Amino acid sequence: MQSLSSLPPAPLSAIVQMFHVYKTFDGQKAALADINLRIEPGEMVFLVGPSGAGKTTLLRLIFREEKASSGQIIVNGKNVSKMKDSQICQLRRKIGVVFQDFKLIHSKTVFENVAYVLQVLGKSKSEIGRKVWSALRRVGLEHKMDVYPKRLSGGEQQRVAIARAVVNDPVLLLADEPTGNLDLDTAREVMNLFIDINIQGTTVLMATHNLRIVEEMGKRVISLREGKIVHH
Amino acid sequence: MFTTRVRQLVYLLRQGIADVRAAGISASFAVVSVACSLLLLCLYFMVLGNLSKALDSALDLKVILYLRENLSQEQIGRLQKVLEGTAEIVNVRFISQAAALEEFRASLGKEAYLLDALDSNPLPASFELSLNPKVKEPNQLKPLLEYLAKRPEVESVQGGVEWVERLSNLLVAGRLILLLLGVILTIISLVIIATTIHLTVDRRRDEISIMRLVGASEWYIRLPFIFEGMLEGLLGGLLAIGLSAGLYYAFCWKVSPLIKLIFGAWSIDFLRLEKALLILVLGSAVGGAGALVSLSCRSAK
Repeated sequence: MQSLSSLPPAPLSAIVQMFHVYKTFDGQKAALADINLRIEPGEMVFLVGPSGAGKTTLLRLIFREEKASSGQIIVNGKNVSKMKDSQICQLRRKIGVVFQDFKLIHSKTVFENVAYVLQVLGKSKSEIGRKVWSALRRVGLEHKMDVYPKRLSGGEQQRVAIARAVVNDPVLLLADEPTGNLDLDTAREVMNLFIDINIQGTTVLMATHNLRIVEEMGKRVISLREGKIVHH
Repeated sequence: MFTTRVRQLVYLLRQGIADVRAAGISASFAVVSVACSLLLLCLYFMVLGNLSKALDSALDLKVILYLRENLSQEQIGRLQKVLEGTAEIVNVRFISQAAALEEFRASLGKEAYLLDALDSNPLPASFELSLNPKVKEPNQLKPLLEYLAKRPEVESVQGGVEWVERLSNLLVAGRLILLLLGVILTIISLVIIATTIHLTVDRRRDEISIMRLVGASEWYIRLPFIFEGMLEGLLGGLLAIGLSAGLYYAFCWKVSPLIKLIFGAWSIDFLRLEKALLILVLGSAVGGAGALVSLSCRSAK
């Protein structure tokens, strides 16, 4: 494993930096091999590649759902690779995550789903009300606050998930195939939301295999194949 | 910071209560099982308290030495001196044959006329002995009573040590059996609570993964489950106290008159307040421990 001191100097302001990162699951072939990347604040970056290329694993390493087998990962100035389990929750409070399957709690209303993040942080009722309303307005769902997720369309559910991810003003928004379950028109609407969030200053890293939409956006693209970066 | 923590705690407590309500039937099983084991503990405290009281009052009973007939005043005086010089005896009262008959006559009340038919006084003279309250253990009393029974002036000793001994043995055996059953049932309730919490964790698996995702700490995730276990334990404790109150009143109603008939004015006490509070604390502790066991098993996986 290469130490941080032996690496070439890099500006410290990057939101995400990866240095020679490897990830192997139970002695199998490396899911990620020698990943080096840097994402600047305010950037919107697409992570593309076929299924099994390692896109999801790379995202999971950033919010420490998985631990790198070797290498260093710096997120918002903190070395994620050396983080203790008790510090992971602090990291995750700075990161918003959106999934393909939305991961909403079906026993809670739209409002409660979004408010959950702030309840975990012990925010006051008035602050929760204000911030949740603002986040839902941002995704155009303020009129559906009292509705349960099952009564929403796929696109609407994904917008709730986006509202939940941004309600605490994260410095980094990770999205794993957020349009994977949506038709093209709805996918474009959701994508526009991400662009809007990015314009307002949040760094966005999105894994997708929807190359058509990626091309339309004209943003920076990182291509992965068999766990390696093939295009930067 | 402090208000944030209080707000979080209130939210988690509410979540714990909501979990108990959502768990429904499995939570009810847990509450009933805790109640069963704590009921035994309630009975343990009640039986122990009342048997100890009985033992105390048994030792408070006066020992009576019935004297042989035709003893001279000199012999009686010598025995009295011996009794008064014994450390375990605090008071010695001589009751002559005539005084015994008078006391008996007084106790008979309206039926005292029956004694008029007697040709002679059949009652023996006796010594009534009050024992030192510090002498509590039957084995401390036994040598003295044996010594007195062997004295040539003494016909017999009433208030002997045998039933005090039996009561004391019963106390030890009852204490052991109830304690053993209590421990077994406590372990069973711990396992049942752990299983209930396990089911709740399973039911809320998705929610927990989302909690982790949005930055909830491990304690924030665990606390509602611990509160749930403690609440189930507390409810079990309350149910156990309620059940023992029911049993107590049923016992007082049906059996207590019989005991009074045999042993005289002897009342049975209910659980003391500090013991009732101890039951509630124990219930909560067992519930919390059950939750921790369940969560630790999950973490280990």
